[in-house]
Amino acid sequence: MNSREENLVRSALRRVDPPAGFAERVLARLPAEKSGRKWYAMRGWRLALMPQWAPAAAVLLIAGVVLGSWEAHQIRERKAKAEQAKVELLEALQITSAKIQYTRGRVFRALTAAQNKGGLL
Amino acid sequence: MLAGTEQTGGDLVRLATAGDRDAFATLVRMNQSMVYSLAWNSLRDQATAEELAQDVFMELYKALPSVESPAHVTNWLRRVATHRCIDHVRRERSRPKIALEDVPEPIADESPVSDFLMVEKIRGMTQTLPARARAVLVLRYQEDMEPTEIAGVLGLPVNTVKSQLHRALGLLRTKLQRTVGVEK
Repeated sequence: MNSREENLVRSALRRVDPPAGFAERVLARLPAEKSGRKWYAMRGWRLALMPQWAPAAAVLLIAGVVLGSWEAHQIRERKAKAEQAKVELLEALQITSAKIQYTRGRVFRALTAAQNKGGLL
Repeated sequence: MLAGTEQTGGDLVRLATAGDRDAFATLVRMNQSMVYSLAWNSLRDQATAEELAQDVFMELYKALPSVESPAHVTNWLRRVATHRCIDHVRRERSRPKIALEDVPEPIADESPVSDFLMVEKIRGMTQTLPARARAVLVLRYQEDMEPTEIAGVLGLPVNTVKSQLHRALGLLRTKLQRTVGVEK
């Protein structure tokens, strides 16, 4: 084709504007819901479109959960230690009591023997 | 989106993706002429062209998360609109109501035909071309695209695009010469 013919084809196929109100008619067909996009469907930079306070809130929530479980763990540990100490104290008291009983028995027997020999008292 | 706010193309796409209708409207207005013209030049029916163009923009709305920039949006729209036009022409089996070769030829007289009338004739003749050849012609002369770019849009080998273009132009030229006596 010569350049004149090509120009004619170009004129025949040139861009034209759509009828007035085209964009508005397209928008009218959009779903009523504004975004329709779920947070779990977001990837990469789309996460940046979340509210600015969302990451801070998430960090605070996670920190709260971690601190809470750490505190609960500490309390459980303290209770276990106290329980252990109680058991040990009871054992020690039992041993002491047994030893006192034993000593008392020996003293009593020694006194009785001495009395029988008629000397001491 | 606030009117008059300075924003980059990337911002525009991000806002539209986030559901900002104004941002999406801006993307529509930026590309409506291109998309509508692809449909109009392929179908030559205002109502069908508008419906097809609207459908393409609705598809864009759904596909927004997969596009990243206005240039990407334009390429996406051009590709999808072209394929929709090809599909539509192929579906409309009434398309070749008259094959190009069968178009009655008015007797060429000596008087030069005005460019306006020739342009109208060319428009009519393009409607007789097969769907893909028509798309190649529209992309070449409406969008000023090179064969390599057209090949990218249509997913065809460059040589196929070149041969389709050559054939389409040859048919048009022959017809023009016969009907209105365009000089060689």
